[in-house]
Amino acid sequence: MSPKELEAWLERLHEESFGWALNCSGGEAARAEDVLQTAYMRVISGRAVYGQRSSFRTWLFGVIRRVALEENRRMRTERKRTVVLEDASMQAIADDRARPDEFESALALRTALAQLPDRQSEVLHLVFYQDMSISDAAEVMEISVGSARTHYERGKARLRVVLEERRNERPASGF
Amino acid sequence: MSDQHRDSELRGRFDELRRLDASRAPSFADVMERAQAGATRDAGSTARYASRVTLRRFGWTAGLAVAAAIAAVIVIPRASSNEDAFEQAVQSFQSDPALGAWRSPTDGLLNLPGSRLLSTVPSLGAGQQ
Repeated sequence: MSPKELEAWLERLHEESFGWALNCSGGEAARAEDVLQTAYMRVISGRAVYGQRSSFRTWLFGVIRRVALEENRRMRTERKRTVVLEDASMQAIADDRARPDEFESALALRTALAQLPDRQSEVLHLVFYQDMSISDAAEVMEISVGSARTHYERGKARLRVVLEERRNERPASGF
Repeated sequence: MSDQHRDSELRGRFDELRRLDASRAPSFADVMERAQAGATRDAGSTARYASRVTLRRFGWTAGLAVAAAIAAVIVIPRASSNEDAFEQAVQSFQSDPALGAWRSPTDGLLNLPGSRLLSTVPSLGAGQQ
């Protein structure tokens, strides 16, 4: 694939990629942007090479996920060295809450997703948000289809419970 | 509520989340520009790193060569002198095998007073001369 073609593909998938990077970065927009930038850098510099074994989107999402995992690991190590003043994912949710009410349901979903184990949150995002099949999601997540299906079923059940709990809490808390 | 209905409800929420994310997505051109700058910087630092590694390797190789040369100067003459001594011993043994014959340290005890008389045969008329 020529550099021009690569760039065209990246541009075509930019919004979806940003959504996926956001999910992998706990909803923090600034971190997601950094992750996306590093992933693009790897693609255009040839450090990540598309082997055409899957669709370009599946491969690109795999690269983004790997970059986000590395970034999360680096941040965890840095946090251990410094005093933690505020939890980043809570900050991301707080930032989102500053958004208009029209996205209230989406924000509730993001908060609920943040409470799920990473794998469950990832597979639900890929299937419902990115309209991927479970086998494509499994490829992005580098796990077997069977595991992806298990995470999907458990995640869906857990997400419903969390959303239901939030719905019941709302009148009392005034959220 | 059926499973399908609940799935479509979830899908609706995810659609809303997608719209929210799209509204705050950074422009592709900005991210790409920074990525390209990063890739150029990365390539430069990789080249610098490679040249540093080459220099370091050269330094190590040169150091090892000098150390090997010093070791050779110290060790090789000593080894050859040992060889020479052995060679000389072999040559002297070949010229006079008696030098290499084993002698008991108690051989002297067998030399009794008058033993020379016992080991020689007297010859007739020798005393007259």
